[in-house]
Amino acid sequence: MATTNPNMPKKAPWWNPAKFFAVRKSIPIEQRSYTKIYGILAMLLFAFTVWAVLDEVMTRRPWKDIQADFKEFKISRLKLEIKKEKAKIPPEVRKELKKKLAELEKQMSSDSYNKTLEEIEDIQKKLYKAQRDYTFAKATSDETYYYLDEERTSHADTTSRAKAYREIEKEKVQLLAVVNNILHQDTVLRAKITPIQKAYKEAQRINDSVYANVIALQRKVDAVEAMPVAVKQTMLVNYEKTNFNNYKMRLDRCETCHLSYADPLFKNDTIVSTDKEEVKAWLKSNKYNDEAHYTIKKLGANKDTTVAIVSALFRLHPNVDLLIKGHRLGEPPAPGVLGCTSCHGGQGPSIVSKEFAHGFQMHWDQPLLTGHYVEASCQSCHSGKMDFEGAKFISQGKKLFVDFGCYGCHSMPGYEELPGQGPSLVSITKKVTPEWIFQWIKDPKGWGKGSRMPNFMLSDDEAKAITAYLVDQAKGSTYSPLANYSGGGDLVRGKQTFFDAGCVACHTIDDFKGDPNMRIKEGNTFAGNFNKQGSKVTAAWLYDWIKNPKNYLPHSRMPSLRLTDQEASDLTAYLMSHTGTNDNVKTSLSGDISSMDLIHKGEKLIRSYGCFGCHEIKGMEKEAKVSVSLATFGKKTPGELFYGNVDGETLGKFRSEFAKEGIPLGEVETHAIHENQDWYTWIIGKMKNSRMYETERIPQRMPNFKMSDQEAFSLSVFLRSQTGAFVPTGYGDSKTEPIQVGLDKGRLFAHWNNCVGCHKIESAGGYVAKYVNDAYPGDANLAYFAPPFLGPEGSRVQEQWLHQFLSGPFKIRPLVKFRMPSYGFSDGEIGTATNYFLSMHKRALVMTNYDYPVNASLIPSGKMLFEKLKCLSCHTMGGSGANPAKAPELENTKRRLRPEWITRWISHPDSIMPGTPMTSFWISGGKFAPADPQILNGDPYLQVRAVQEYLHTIGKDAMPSATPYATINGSDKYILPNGDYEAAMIRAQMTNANMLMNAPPAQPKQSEVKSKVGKRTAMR
Amino acid sequence: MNKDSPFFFLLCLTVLISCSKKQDDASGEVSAGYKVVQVTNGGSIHGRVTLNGALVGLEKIEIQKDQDVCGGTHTNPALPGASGGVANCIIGIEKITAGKDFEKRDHTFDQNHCDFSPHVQIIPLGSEILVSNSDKVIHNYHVNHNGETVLNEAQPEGVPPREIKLKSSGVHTVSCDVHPWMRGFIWIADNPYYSITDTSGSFSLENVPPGKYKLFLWRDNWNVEELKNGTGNIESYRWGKDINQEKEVVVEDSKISEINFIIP
Repeated sequence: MATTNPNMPKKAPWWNPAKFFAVRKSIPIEQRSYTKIYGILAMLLFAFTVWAVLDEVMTRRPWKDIQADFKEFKISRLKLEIKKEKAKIPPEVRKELKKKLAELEKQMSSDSYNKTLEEIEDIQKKLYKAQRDYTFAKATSDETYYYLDEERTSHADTTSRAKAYREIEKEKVQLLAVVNNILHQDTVLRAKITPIQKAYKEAQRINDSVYANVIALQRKVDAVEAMPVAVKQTMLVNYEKTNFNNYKMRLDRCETCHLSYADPLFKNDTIVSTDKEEVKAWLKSNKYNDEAHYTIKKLGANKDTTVAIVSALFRLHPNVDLLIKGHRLGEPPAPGVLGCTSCHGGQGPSIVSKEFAHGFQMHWDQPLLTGHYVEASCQSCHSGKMDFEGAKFISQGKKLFVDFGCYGCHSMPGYEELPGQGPSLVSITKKVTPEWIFQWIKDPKGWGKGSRMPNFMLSDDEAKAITAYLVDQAKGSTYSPLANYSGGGDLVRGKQTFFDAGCVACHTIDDFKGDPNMRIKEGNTFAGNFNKQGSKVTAAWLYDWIKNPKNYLPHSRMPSLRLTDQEASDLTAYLMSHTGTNDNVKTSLSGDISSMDLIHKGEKLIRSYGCFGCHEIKGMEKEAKVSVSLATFGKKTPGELFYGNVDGETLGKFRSEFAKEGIPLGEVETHAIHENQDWYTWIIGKMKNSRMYETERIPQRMPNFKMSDQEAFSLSVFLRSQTGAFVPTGYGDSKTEPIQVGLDKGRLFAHWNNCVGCHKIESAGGYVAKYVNDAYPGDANLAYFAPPFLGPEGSRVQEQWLHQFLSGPFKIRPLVKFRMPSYGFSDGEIGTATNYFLSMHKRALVMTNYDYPVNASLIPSGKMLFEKLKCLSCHTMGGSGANPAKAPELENTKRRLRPEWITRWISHPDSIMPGTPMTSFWISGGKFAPADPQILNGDPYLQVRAVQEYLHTIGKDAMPSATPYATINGSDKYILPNGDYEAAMIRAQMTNANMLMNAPPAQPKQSEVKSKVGKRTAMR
Repeated sequence: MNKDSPFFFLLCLTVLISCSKKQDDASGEVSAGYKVVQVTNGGSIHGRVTLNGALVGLEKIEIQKDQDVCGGTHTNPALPGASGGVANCIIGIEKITAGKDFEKRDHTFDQNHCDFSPHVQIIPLGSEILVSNSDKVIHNYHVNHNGETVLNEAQPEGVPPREIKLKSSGVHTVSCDVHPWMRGFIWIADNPYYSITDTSGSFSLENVPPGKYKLFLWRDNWNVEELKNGTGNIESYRWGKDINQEKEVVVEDSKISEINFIIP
């Protein structure tokens, strides 16, 4: 076509695009050729396709390399195990086995053996032939006989047929003889080799049984070698919800790379080999070349001999029993199993790179939770739990959130019903002086290092104004002491009472120190420190307070310890002898504080700071929370947080300092973070100094809690858990199922009232035990014990009895130091506690009659055992028996203990309460055995049963009567939270527990409602 | 028997394997921190424990319970003896990581005539103790270690002896809740360098690898007080605090180091 136009250049140089297109332009459109352009484009398309395929298959598949490495890694590891297993077999045995096998093998390869084998083979051929001939002869014989028979019945001539039949029969016999002859030869030949074969088989069997472990390991090696390189994943059907509220599946492919998470072989440092050269070779050959994953570590003292490769990637999950078996392999959270991202975060389906898979990329809102922040996930499903096994920081953070009263200003789901943390201030002037109020609100930590009240950074004028308002609002107080202190009291006795009555369970003083860096309200840091008490309150107030706390504060958690007048005087004297001043406040309250202007100013300040979030203040009962909700705080992005003028260096310091302390902040996607402004640094800054991000134009009001690093970190873990994430039914703890609700309400109740200060209940608690053990070191004859473990309570005691005990506690265990206080619980609160104990044993609160018809035939044996086993060496029965008593009164068991419990308990006390002083009578060498070889034919089950039934017959029908809440001026007083003596008296006298148990729970009485502060005091 | 028979072969194997397993078990239990090695040129520690001052403590303990079995009075089993030497002291090296092997013998603990017998004994960690009751009355062995009950089982009369095992090292106080005067001591040793003083108060530790050690002494107190309840009966017996002393000792190659203790 080019030849048709003489003006057109001969060649368009395609390698020079400018010239090429210039030349092209000169050609009329209809004559231009596209061949070359299309050719080039087609080639490019082909090249890119190849590139794309290669990229997809090679570079974007790091997990393939990881799987290849893992195979090698695991095989080396298994080979090491094989070596170890082999070493366990004594060398003599190995030698003997080898010798035996070799000997037999030698025999089996000898010429004579082989010749015999050949002969047997030949004979087999002959036998086949002979047997075939014989079979044919037999068939011919059958055929001939048939025709012969037919001829006979049709009366035909049978002569020739009969002859033929005789001949073939003869031949048949001859052929059979040949077969038998060959068979005999075969038997003779086989007899030569069978013993050798048998012996060899037996030797191999023994060999296999001795090397069983080695063979099993070898099979594992084979299995690893055969393992296909493939993506592994867990599907969580209907696990998530989209923004359109539709269910969707979650897909976790983490185990594609984290192959050994459930492999016990990788429990410790994963040793790939103990051979140095082998390790070097292995490191060279590994495909997933990332130094962070494989490091060489020398183990043992002799550095040349023991070399290992430690892999961060191939490890067993650190808490396999609890987290993997419990959560992933599907036991408790049925239906289905959990994946990995449900706890750890990250981008489940992604496997193209570590960063993508871990979710450290822009716009992925659930990046991997690193370090202790993974504990935040526990909270998503177990929102009612207070103590998480193996997750210290979420437990601490959760408690601190409650104990610092964060919910007073910030709304948070699950904590709406809690009353404020601080004491009511409506009668404050009856307790402390205006001067003390002024100094305290200026700097609470100056008064005591463990103070939880935050610092509002008030100026002298502001503090004065607030003091003025508080003094003014308390003018309407109707409080006056009921118990009157008449002076006196002995300091030494007071100190002893402080210990013996159990004040040490909640309070600190002198030697009983709390930890100022972890201000959780639990154990002796639950309530105030008394080192300066004498300078804070008046003796008259203190005496009335310790005798009868509900008189001053109807809603206080402080219980009555049923102190006698003498004990109360001694304690008052002891506490008043401790004086001091506010260490950090140098100014004092001056001038008039009664001016209306000042009072109004104070009121305005209180409203702006939201003091009523924690304290009951007159005139401010209906105020709303002053700050933002924290319900979804955990998923805030840096863009939603205000950093003020704080620079990256200051924020970065938190990272480095916390890492040094072993509590590193969570990892973030570094290249998208500006100036260390990420979620973790923000919250730590805020916790350490709440006004850190304040600027001239943007003031902040949050008070400063001056948290320790441990406190700040723990709280940040808890806040991280507040993502508002949806938890599908069946995965998290139910919020409606009665047993779970009973547990959750009970756990908060036990923390709120510091039950755990004295008693171990679930996994934690019983903090006073160490004081008892220090003060009364265990000598079996004179031991005093800490308050009992309450884990078994729900299966131990009868419900009616528990109700009676909680309404007015009485002594059960003579050797337990401390007295169970009188809390003056309402029926609702007793119900919460009872339900908690029962729920721990999956029981619901039902009225049960524990009377049963006694098996009279067992009673004499029961009595005999009771006397023979000398139960009354420690116990008492109707007051007689051990003197003084060491163990509970046995007449009360009928109404106190459940019969099922008695049998379980006396059968094996130590297994229910380790360390109990109760003797095991039916245990011999760790096994259940008769306590007496003769009684009831030595049947231990019948013996236990007989004692249980005997205890039932000696039991009293009446329960011990409830003790009075407090004895004031010689008369018993029963006080309910509403201060209603009359109602309490009636309640304590109600002997028919039936009525109480069937009463609808937690319906506050009209009089109670009136005295409560809005909604917040519904749970005390 | 024909040596080539499979039976003989099997027999050999069984014996060999079972032997090797036993060895494994034994070394596994004691070796918690202590390694048995061949000690060459080991030295010895010899000494005596004497009493400084007069004896304080009841010689006879009055008994008001089960007198038909236990008798009316008991000699105080904790008394050190009249020779001036203090018997029944435990002398030992607490922190030693390697050395000679344990002496193999059986350990018994009997409740006889309402007393524990022996009163004090040393038992290697992991060994079993055969506990028996020779009395025609119930006893219980309430074992306390560091102020906590670790074992508390009753052994009524006629019940066969049984084996028990104590899991932590150090002194275990055994008492009987039925007969409060009864006290026995079991020292669980995690190494074999322990000795109980004889009636003259002498002790010796042999074959000690040369080195510097902390030698310590423990003894139960013989000072006992009878506590009476409101009705004037003896309710319990209060014993003095255990005696603990510590001394440094240097052991040299194949030499005898002399070291004496005085109980004030």
